[in-house]
Amino acid sequence: MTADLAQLFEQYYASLVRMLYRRTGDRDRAEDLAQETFARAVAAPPDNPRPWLFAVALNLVREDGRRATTRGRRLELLRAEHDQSAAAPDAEFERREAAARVHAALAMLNERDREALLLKAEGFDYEEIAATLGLAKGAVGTTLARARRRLVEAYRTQERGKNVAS
Amino acid sequence: MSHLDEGTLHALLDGELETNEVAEIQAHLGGCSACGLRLREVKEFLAEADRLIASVDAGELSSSQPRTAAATVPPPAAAPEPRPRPRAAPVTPATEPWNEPPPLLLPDNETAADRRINRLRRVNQAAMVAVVVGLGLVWNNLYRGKSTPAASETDSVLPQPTAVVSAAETARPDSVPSRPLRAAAAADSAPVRVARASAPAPSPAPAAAAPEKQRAPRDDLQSVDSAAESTDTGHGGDSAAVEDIATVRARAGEALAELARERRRNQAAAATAALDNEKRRRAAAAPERAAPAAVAPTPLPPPPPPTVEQRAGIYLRIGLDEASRQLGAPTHVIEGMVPMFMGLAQGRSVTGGDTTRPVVRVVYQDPQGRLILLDQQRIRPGQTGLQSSALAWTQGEQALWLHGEANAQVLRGYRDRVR
Repeated sequence: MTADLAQLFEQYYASLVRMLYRRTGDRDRAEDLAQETFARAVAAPPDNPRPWLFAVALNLVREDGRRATTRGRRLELLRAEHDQSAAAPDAEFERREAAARVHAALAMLNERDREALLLKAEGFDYEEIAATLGLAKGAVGTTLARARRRLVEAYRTQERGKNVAS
Repeated sequence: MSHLDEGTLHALLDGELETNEVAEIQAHLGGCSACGLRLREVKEFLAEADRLIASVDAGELSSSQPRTAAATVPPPAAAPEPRPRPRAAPVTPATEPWNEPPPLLLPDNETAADRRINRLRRVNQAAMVAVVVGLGLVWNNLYRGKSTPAASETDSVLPQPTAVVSAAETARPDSVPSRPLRAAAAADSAPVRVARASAPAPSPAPAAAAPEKQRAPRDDLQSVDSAAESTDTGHGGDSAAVEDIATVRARAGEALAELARERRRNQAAAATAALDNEKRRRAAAAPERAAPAAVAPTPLPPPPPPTVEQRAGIYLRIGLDEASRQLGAPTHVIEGMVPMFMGLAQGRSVTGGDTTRPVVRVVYQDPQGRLILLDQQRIRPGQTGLQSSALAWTQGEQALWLHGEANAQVLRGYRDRVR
């Protein structure tokens, strides 16, 4: 590994895993995808690394998502079993529930909106988001506006549903 | 100016607008209450969305067990507060799993310069350990050189003659000439004082304490003498008593001589240890002085920019005929694009392809300068059950994979044009 690539790894690995984790909800998968992203960077060192790495990572998520649909369902089942067996404190249980609702709300966004939102959360500016997602810079504000509104509305809808159910 | 759209307000709050645009918007907001209300609403949505995304970290962290070292990290006590606008990379709690040292699985090709630097670092560390151990020995020896004689002279040696004299005095009080004993004491203590004065003093406090320690035996000797003199005035001429006093004197002389020898041994041991430590310190300092000289003239050269072949990951360029021969069929191409070149790819095969066959990679460049790679590999005759996806499929007796530096959406556009 060259010094530059090692520096890239140190600089962006955590951010990449975090973004992938928010995107997939599966930490192991996020780490695997981040590793795969850097493996591709070894084969073809990028000129503009940050947008390149995140674009490749998001592409991998999309490719992986199709294959992993069944596996994901299985994981969810396993996780549900684990959650039931572990007697979590109330606050912890509430936090998990809230996180699951956020994941569900994120899943209701379209691909581009969700990715723009996650990249913004990683500190990307509009120009970098545009470069990563292949958008015009002028469209990023509108995309983020729609994404934020839909995320909040989807989350609030779930909150209301939860309150009615309980 | 018409009303502000939501995208512009988000861009404003994200700090993405130019100064003149901001001034215009502020001027408009000053006179348009509808846009002011909308701005407040946008602010709420923005803050809420950020809070929700940030909350995924804390919630999921506690629910998923980290794979490696993070297993020992306690979960955060509460979800993080809503963050300020992320103008730079967002700050995350130190206990996030991604803040662990990343498990670096990529190959690490250590250069010669790296190896040299690492070797010098190891030598420096060893030298530092040697210096620390040496200083510890010096301190230990100096400490023992001061404390042991003092303890021996006050605790073990001197009380013995004093007690003997007291016993002799009570048993048979006789007159004994005190001059020889005083002279012997002076003769024994003189070389000790000289040796101690020449020894290095570790600190002012022990040096100041030394005269006190030296005074103690002399006081005891004077008490012995005065006791002897007091018996001298009351009694005299008894040969047996003189013999006893002579025995006591001889024992006291032996004790003082033993004390002096003990002091000299300690002084010699301390001096020897100091000498050894000085040698060790010089030996340890030598590589430290050599290290900067060796490291300084080796600045790392800037890495050369990658060639197109490196970016494309091919190790050998080939022509169309050779590509067709490797594939056993005409080479697939993207219709409407002119390939830059084609070659054999290294270390990556199309999923399901015949791994005994090389991967033929046709390299294109799109208008944005991104490389588009069309991989092709022969599959075994009659092989079925190959994995396929939007960008990896089989066509005839070849497995194809379209990938590169463009995103999947762009690649899917090219996928339809592969012939």
